[in-house]
Amino acid sequence: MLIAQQVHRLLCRYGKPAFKVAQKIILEEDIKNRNVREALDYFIREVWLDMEYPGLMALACKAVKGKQYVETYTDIPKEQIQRQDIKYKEET
Amino acid sequence: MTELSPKQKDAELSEKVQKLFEEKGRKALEIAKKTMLKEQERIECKEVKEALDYFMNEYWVDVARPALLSIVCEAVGGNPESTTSVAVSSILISGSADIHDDIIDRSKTKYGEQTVYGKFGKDIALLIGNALLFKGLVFLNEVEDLSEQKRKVMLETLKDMFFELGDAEAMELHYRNCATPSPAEYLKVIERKAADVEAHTRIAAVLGGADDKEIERLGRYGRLLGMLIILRDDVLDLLDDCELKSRIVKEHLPLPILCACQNAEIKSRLDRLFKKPRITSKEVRLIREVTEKSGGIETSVTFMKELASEALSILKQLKMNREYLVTLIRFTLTF
Repeated sequence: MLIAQQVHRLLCRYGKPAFKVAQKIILEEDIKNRNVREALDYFIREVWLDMEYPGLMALACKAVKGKQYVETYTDIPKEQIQRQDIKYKEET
Repeated sequence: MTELSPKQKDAELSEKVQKLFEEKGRKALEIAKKTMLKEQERIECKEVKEALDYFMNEYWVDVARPALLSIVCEAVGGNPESTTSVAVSSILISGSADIHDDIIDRSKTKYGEQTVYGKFGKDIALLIGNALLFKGLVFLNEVEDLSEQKRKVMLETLKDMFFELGDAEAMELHYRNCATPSPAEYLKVIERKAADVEAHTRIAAVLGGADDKEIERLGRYGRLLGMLIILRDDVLDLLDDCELKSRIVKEHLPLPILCACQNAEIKSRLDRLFKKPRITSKEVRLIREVTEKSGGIETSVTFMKELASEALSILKQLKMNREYLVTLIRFTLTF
């Protein structure tokens, strides 16, 4: 797996809890207009699957020993990332 | 002393309200300008700088919303000064909604002035709108001397207002291209659009320390006042060639025309004019004449008077200084 993919996966794992909360907030909002409701549902369910930013925030928070929002997500060992990094460089 | 004619009375009342708005709302507007222009120093893009400068210094002279906050707060016995910071936030957030509205309606000019969209285009207008929205919300979050409870109520009220306005905008899109919904259907949209004014009267009542009953009543008063302001614009737009043309071509038809269209014969006559690929100034005047003769304006004004009467009876139930609140309702019936 390329380092980029691995980082992406890592960010998604850490960002998913916050993303799920954001999704829930939007889906629960009382919106009368059908078109607006559909557009918002489509956006939050299918387009804006933004887990990278909350993932980055969670990791940065963890790095300074901040309290994690959800602690069940384990990080990928550093050595594995470094190994993948070397492999990625060799391939390119 | 000679008695004033109805027109002179209207002009006098209009002047009185303008003075009131200026007196009660200017301070917050100046702070809003300063706050936003301070941000401008950090902006590198020349066009964005210019657009922000244009909007804050020349276009967005919003003294009405801060004045309404101040008047309602004072009416319930609160200190009107306590609304200033919230008013600054409201000026910025409402400015943002106005810009987004212009983009949706493709309004290049409004009240004889170029809009940000008209002067700088859609992309810059969108960015300015976003900047105002964020700054407004952050400003509200930073207001001092505000209990967490009140701040929460305010943010929730503003959020609800924004969602309701968005809903109304989306509903209004169906009425473009000279669609003729029934006046009742159209009024449902207008009622939702009036969420803006209700949010302001509610927030001011909360800031002034009103009890729950008073907050509800002032909220309803705000909703009615908001509807009246929009409907007054509908009537005024009908009386102005340029505005009427813009309503027909780019936006939705004003209430007097929709009332006139309740008559099948009038509707088919007007439909023929609406379907023309280009509407001339002469045809715009003809549309107005037909609407007037068929009683479209009269019906609209009668409905407005009913709303005004409800608003005034709500005020009667409140034990407070109602003078300015009554004046605002009366003002909406001047043309």
